[in-house]
Parts: sequence; structure tokens; C-alpha cells
Amino acid sequence: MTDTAHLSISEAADLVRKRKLSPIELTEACLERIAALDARLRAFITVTREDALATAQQTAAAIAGGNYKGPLHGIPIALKDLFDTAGGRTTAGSKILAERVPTADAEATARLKAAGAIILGKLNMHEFAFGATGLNPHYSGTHNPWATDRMSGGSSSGSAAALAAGMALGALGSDTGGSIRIPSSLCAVTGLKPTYGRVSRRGVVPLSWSLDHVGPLARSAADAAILLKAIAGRDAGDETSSEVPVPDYTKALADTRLKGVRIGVPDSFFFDNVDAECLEAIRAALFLLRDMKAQVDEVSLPHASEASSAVAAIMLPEALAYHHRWLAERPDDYGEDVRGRLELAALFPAVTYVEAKRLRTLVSEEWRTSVFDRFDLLAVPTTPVAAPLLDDDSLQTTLTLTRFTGVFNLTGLPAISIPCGFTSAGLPIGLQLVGRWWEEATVLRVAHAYQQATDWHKRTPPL
Amino acid sequence: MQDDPRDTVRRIAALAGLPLAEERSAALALTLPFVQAVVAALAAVDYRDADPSAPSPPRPKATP
Repeated sequence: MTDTAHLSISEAADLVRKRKLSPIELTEACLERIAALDARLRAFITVTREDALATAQQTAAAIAGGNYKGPLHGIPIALKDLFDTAGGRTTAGSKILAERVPTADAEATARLKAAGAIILGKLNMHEFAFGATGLNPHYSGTHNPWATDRMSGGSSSGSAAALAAGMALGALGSDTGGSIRIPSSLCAVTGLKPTYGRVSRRGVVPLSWSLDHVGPLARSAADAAILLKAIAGRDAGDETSSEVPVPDYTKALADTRLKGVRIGVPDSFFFDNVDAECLEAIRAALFLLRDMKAQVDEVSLPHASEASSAVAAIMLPEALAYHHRWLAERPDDYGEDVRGRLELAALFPAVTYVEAKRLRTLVSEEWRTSVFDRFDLLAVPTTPVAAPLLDDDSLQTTLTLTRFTGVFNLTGLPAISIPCGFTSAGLPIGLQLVGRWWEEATVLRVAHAYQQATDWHKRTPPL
Repeated sequence: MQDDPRDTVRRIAALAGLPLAEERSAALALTLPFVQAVVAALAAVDYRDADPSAPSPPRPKATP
């Protein structure tokens, strides 16, 4: 039988709705796991234990009174520590904002609360989300639950580690170059970066306005569907958020048949210099999808290799623009890696920034007309390697980890990472599925179908 | 005669309002090849008529 803290949201919601499991019991189970494990893993920056228990008691009373709101009602969730929480410290993993207490919730925080979720606390992350390792000089690096001498990946490091370790049933993260999908891949959880504009970013500390996305991390695609439904949709307070209607993602999962689904596998770039065991797992996943009657064919992706350069040329100057004053006045309050990246950003010419924006337009149009006219999805590795060692915090490590993810921030395409195997050392491997703009439902449906045929996402680390 | 990369990065950073100490200029100079690679990669693309201000992602033509 699954431990209470390792239940999926879907499983827990069913028990809560039938009053076979109390939100108090569920919240206590997560808090016990946090108390037992977080000194080793460092997934949390702030645990809001008393608030969580008080909310759980109110929630239990509401449900007992017949006021059940839906599948997130009474479910313990944790937030990357860049989502504003009214009255609760929001540090963005930094010393600069260490004492910052927002007066209002981020829109995504507010929507989760409105759906009845119980907020357990704020999760560790790469400082200001500006790195893919999750190592943090101010709050310690987050250790990978599958091998505690390895990094969890980042920047949403605590989000993935907490889920894998059974400390929360779901989490929110942000993704500017892969920061949801990379830690999901390295920790064997499911992480979805929705279409740019699908989820409001109001109240989320920015890294790069043109590339920032907000999305869920969960134990399954089905759980990611529940979380996305709660947070997606137009927010008048975020000009980039879209009015495109939000479908019922859970309903879309019902059809697990893949006959007729066309999956494109890039013929270059995404399979170059990939670790042999990762490559083997990805190929096995593609064979399985073909066995499940999906049509899997090679596809050429124009300008995929230049896209990584464009991501850097946009992300770095935009990050510097946000941090400019602090960097001039408080440079020693940054960690060495983030400070170095911000200084590096100053070297980029303005023309390169504009060219990167032009490339985004060019790639989006070319892929719309010559790729997604023939394919419903792309399938690629999430990362070219499994989790690196904890002390490997070089710029090169971040460039390696983001090699296959950043391009989908540039294009704004929805992309999910799902577990698809383990290395011989027991380290997780992730498969990335990428859909057309606004078609998260297709991404989630195919990911869910794959998870119905496999059990990689159900495995738990040997803690 | 070639410029010292440390002087180059120090001058550019100063233009951006970021005065750098000698040791930081030296460290930053090591990243110049990365910047040059990004600049070269993007300078080599034929952008045709791509507009940097075009809406991204492309707006849907119909409700999905």
C-alpha cells in the first residue's frame, strides 16, 4: 500500500472526497516527512507548519459540512520560493530578498488557495532562478533524493526533491530555460511548462520576462492536469497572460489510445552528445510509444541549434535589467555564480538581443508551418545527462542541463518531462514531450497514456 | 596589437554602470569566448523579414 505522503493527488482527492482520509492526516504526513528528511535534502526554505495545520483543520470542517470544492481541496502543496505569499517570506532563494514579506499572493498562489489547496511552505531554488543546478550558497543546495551526493537540478530544485521525497503532493515551479523540466527529469517526477501566457506570472519574482513560465510539478501527468486547470487562464494583472480558453485537462486524459497521434523525433541536435544510458532509455520510450500505435517519425527542426544562443542572448540582458540596481549597490550579496552571470550579461551587444527576438519569430513561424503541420508532438530527451554531482556548479553544467529545454522557452511551446528510466547507478532519466501552442491537453494525454503503460513515475527513492 | 580582454570587459561593464575590480575583470574575461560564440551564431542567421516584436507565441486562429 502507498504511504499517505506518497499518494498521488488523484488518489488522495478520491479518499478526501469520500471522507476516508482527512486533510489533517494528509498534511501531518507531509509535515512528518519534512521533519524527518529536510535536514538532509534541503528542499524547503520556509515550512509554514502552523498555518498549514490551521488550514487543514478549516478544510476538514468545510468538507465535513458538505462544501467539497474539488480535487485540490485539502491537498498539501508547496511553492517555489519566488511565488509571493501574503504575509509569508518570499526570498527567491536570495540574500537580497531574504526578509521580503509580500502583502499579496501571487495569482497562481491565490488560485491554488481558492481551489482549497493547503500550502505547506516555500521551496528551495537556485538563487533568483538563475541557474539549472539548484545549488544555493544562501540556503544550501538541494540534494537529490535518489542519490544525496547528486544535485536535484534547478532552478525549481526544492519543488522536484520535495515531491520525490514525499514531502508534498504537488508543487509549483517556474521555467525560464528548463527550470521545471530539468529537476523533474533529475528527480523522476512529472513537470509541465505550459504555453507562454497560459499561466499568470503576476507576483512571481522574474528572471527574464520574455522567457518566464509558471507551471506544475507532480507525481503524474494526471496530477499535473489537475494543478494546471487550477492555475491556468487569463489574469488582467499580467499582460502576457492569454484569453485562450482553458480546457478540462483531466477530461482530456480519458482517451489513452495513441492511434493517430503523430510524434516527431528530431534528426539532429537533440540526440547529439547524449549519455549512452539516457539515450537507451529515450529510445526505449519511443519504441513503446510506437508499440502503443503512435506514429513516430523523424523530423527536421530548423534553427534548433541557434535557439540556445538566442535564449542566452535574451535571458542574460533581461536578468541584468531586473537586477541592475542591486548588482551595482549590493554585489557581495549575490552568490558567486549568479553575480558572475549578471556581469557576463553586460557584455552582450544590443543588436544580439534584437537578433535573438527575431530568431524567436523566425523559429516559431517555421516550426508552425513545417513541423506542427505534420506532427502533434515532439519527443526528445529532457537533459543529455543524469544528475551531476553536487559540487559541479560550473556555467558549463548549467549549459549542459539546459541544452534541450531552453529552445521551448524561446518558442513558448508547452513541454512536459516524464520519468522514462534509470541509469545503472539508479539516477532518473526524463523524456520530454512538446506540443503545439495551447495544446497542453495533448501533451498531458500522451504523457498520461505512457504512464498507464509504465511504472517509472511510481517509483520512490531509497531514503 | 590586440586589446587585453580584461580591459575590454572592464570598459564594457563600466558602460553598463558596473565598475569591476581587477580580479572580477580577469574572471569575466574568461567568458568572452562564450559571448563571442553567441554573437557569431546569431549574426549568421538569415532572418528574412522576421519581426522581433511579433506576438509570441503565435495567436491561435481558432479556439483549440
